[in-house]
Amino acid sequence: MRRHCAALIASWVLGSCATPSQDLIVLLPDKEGKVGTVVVQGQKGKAVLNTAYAAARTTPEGGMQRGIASQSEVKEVFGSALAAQPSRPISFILYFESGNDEFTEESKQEVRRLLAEMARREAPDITVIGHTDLVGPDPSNDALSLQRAERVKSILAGMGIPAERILTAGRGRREPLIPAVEGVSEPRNRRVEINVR
Amino acid sequence: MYLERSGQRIPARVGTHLQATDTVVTGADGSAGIAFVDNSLLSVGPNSVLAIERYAFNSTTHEGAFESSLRRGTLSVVSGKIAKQSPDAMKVKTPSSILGVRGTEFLVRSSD
Repeated sequence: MRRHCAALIASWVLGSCATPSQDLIVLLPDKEGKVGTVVVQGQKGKAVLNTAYAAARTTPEGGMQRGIASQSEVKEVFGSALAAQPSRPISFILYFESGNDEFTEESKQEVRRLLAEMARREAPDITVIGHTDLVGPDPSNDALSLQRAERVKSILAGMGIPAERILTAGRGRREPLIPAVEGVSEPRNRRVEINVR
Repeated sequence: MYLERSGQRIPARVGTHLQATDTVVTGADGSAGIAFVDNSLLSVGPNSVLAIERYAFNSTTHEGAFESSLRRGTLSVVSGKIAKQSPDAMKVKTPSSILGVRGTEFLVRSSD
């Protein structure tokens, strides 16, 4: 009897015998109307959500019910969480004049747009991401792109953006902006992206 | 709202930087939004407890792992670069479910 009691307490602590939480999961379309996939694994059932407003509800017995959530239910249950969503991240692309450290004329305007966007946000953090073209191997491009990002970070810090809010990243040649041929120099891919979030 | 970090309760305000393994707790009229460095966006409504259990992001390769646990309350998720790079690298748990995320936006409520 005593042993049984102890086991019961332990099972409550572990949660395996406790009443499971009742969950509601709803898939939303993104801003472009596209939907991804969420796989919900419950204690006894599983649901794959891959259409807009597809919903899964867990039952007190640990089962899983599929359904559709109405927009009014979404608003009622999740209105506060949705209202607290941070602003969507946004990227600005900067180019240097070839052969020197100066931004191109167009990029100087882009920097002004960046500063305006940062002023609009409550607590902006940024990542300065260097990108290269498809000339040369990964390691040297990774180093080069990070070097460019660091240079832009110091320029932005010099404009008054707090350094502790600026991260740097070297993405190397992994994310060409426009399609390019291996080994061919493409200035439009040699860029620095400022991601604001 | 406040954060729990290594067993300590830390007040949080707009702009506070989170660490992996922080837990975000909101009160009856609270809410909170969190922007992660991979551009994942999480936000919670009132009476919510959200634990960031694991967060790793390689900004060069976009590989990473993001595991969070909604112990109670409501959560909205917009996935970011981690989920885009590696399906199943992002997971959201509740006391009774595990969600595998493949690049998407979704909502979760966990109620007692």
